[in-house]
Amino acid sequence: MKSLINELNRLSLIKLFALAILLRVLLMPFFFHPDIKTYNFQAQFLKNGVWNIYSYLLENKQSLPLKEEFVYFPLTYYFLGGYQIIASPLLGSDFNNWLNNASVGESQAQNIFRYLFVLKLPYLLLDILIAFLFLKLFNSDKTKKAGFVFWLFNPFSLILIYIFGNLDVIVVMITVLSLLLVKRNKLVFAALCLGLGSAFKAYPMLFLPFLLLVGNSISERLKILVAGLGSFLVIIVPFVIKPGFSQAALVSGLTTRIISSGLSIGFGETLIFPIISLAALFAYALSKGVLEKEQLWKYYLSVLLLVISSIHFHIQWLLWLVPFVVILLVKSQKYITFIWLIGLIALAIPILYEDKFMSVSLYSVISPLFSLLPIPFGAVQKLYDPYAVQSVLQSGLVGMSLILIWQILKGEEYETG
Amino acid sequence: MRLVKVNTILVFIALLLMPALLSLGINNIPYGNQPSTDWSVKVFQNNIIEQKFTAQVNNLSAIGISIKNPNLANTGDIVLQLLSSDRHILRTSTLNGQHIPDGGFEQFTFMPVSDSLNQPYILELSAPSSVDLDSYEIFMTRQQISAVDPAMSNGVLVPGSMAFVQYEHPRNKLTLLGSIYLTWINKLVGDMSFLVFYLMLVISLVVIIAPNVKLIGRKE
Repeated sequence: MKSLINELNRLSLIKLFALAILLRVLLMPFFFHPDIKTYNFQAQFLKNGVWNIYSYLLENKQSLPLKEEFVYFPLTYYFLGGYQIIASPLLGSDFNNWLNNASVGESQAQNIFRYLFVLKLPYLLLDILIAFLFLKLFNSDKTKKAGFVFWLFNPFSLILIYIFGNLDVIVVMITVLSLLLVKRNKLVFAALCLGLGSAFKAYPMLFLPFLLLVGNSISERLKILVAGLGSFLVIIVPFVIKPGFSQAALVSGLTTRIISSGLSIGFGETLIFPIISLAALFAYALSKGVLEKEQLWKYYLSVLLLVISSIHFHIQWLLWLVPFVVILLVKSQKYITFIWLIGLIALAIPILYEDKFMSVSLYSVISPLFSLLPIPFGAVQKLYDPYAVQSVLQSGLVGMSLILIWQILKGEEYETG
Repeated sequence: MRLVKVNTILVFIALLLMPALLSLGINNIPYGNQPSTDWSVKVFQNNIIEQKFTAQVNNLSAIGISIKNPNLANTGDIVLQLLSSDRHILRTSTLNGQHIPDGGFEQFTFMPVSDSLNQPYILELSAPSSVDLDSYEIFMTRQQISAVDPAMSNGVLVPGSMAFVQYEHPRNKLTLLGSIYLTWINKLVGDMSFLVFYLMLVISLVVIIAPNVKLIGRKE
């Protein structure tokens, strides 16, 4: 740690910052995951005056070139659609043709590098904003700089944001902002952030019960609940009562997977692993009475480790963990090898999914020939059952996550920051 | 600083080295896109599909076809034979239904046929262990494809041809690698205003970083 800080003192933050941006700029145009096209295809309808994307897609499914539902929550649609409106002069006139072209040659559009660069530009800004939030999140110079560097120079966020084109960085920024507000004793605003974040993607709502426990009094906890849950409900209720939303956003992704992993106990009942573990974690937190605000990140990290390790997850979800892992590493670097191991296992699991865009096809904008290559799933299949390998890795991830959670919650004294 | 160094190296590996490494694994290059898949013909026991065509590639090394196999019901073999115009068997390639998802686009690969360009060939598809109930179905096209005759099913002409793709084995990996990087550069040059902006941005960032390049490589 000492050598890192000494080195940091020699390097100016500006130069590190420029290098961080350069690495991101180098990746942005040259990697393509079709999700970025799918949700931008759906978000294009905002400029046509479509305010309820869920009902619109349901009503026009037959005539649209892409049939997928919009699985994110409403603010994601407004964010992406609003950005498309602002960025349309940069994207050019052929952009809409590309969005509406569902052919297999979608990654071969002439201006594809421009599209990918411009569409990932807000992610770059949010990513950098997170780095600056880390400067505010810690107290001493050395922890500030360590947080800044760990965020900007960890390979996981680079891969997840710029190679997989992961829009979850929006919500990740909001959760870090919420943590900063907790540090500044603005618990109601922190809860408001969680509510707003959940209106993009649902997962920050999992943090709200733990934020409640930071409140000192019943009235304060009530305010936190109203701000967090209320802001979320105010945004989504107008959609819930109309067709399309429940089926698309509520019955997809995390919202259903979190209750799909379990063990049947007969008579139609199931013991649901993520719920069991989250309930146990909450009960543990509850037993502490009032949670210390400095400890909150440990519970957020634990929540995500418990949920992600025990369900079939999207690779994009791993980004949710990264800010809390950065905090862990700033506080105690003894976990760095452990974190690398968990991170590599967590990345390996989705790369083994039977999906070309988890591996070789990410390079398809450079040349479509890369999509002809065998995928890791197929390569493993020649030797052994790839699902068995995935299961072994996932089980290993659960075990390692449990030990990490135990380590971080057992009350060790970390360096204060 | 190790983290900064590792990340910088990883980005350059991902961007520059990986395309080169991946290109070493490309053994079959398609000729054009697959024609539209308009309807299908069953293949089972003696129900064989025959397709005459003229090869459009040298080193013909694979044939790609879309196959119906609902619920992976058929776990038997499907056999493709490549015959010369005088019906000598040149190559045989077999796939197993366990690995053919319904509607999957499958490649039948074989040893490359040298000097295949513009030579007439016959494809024969058979599934000797299948019965009518669990038959494979081969996707056909109604598109008129040059150098491809109408197909025959069980000896009877059908309206259209197999919706198949011919593949070529690259003669030289270095040439293939060069063509991949050339395609990449051409695409960049094709959007000149973006390229100019992008290069200016990258160069500006490099200029800012340049004096500290040595520090990044220094040991802790």
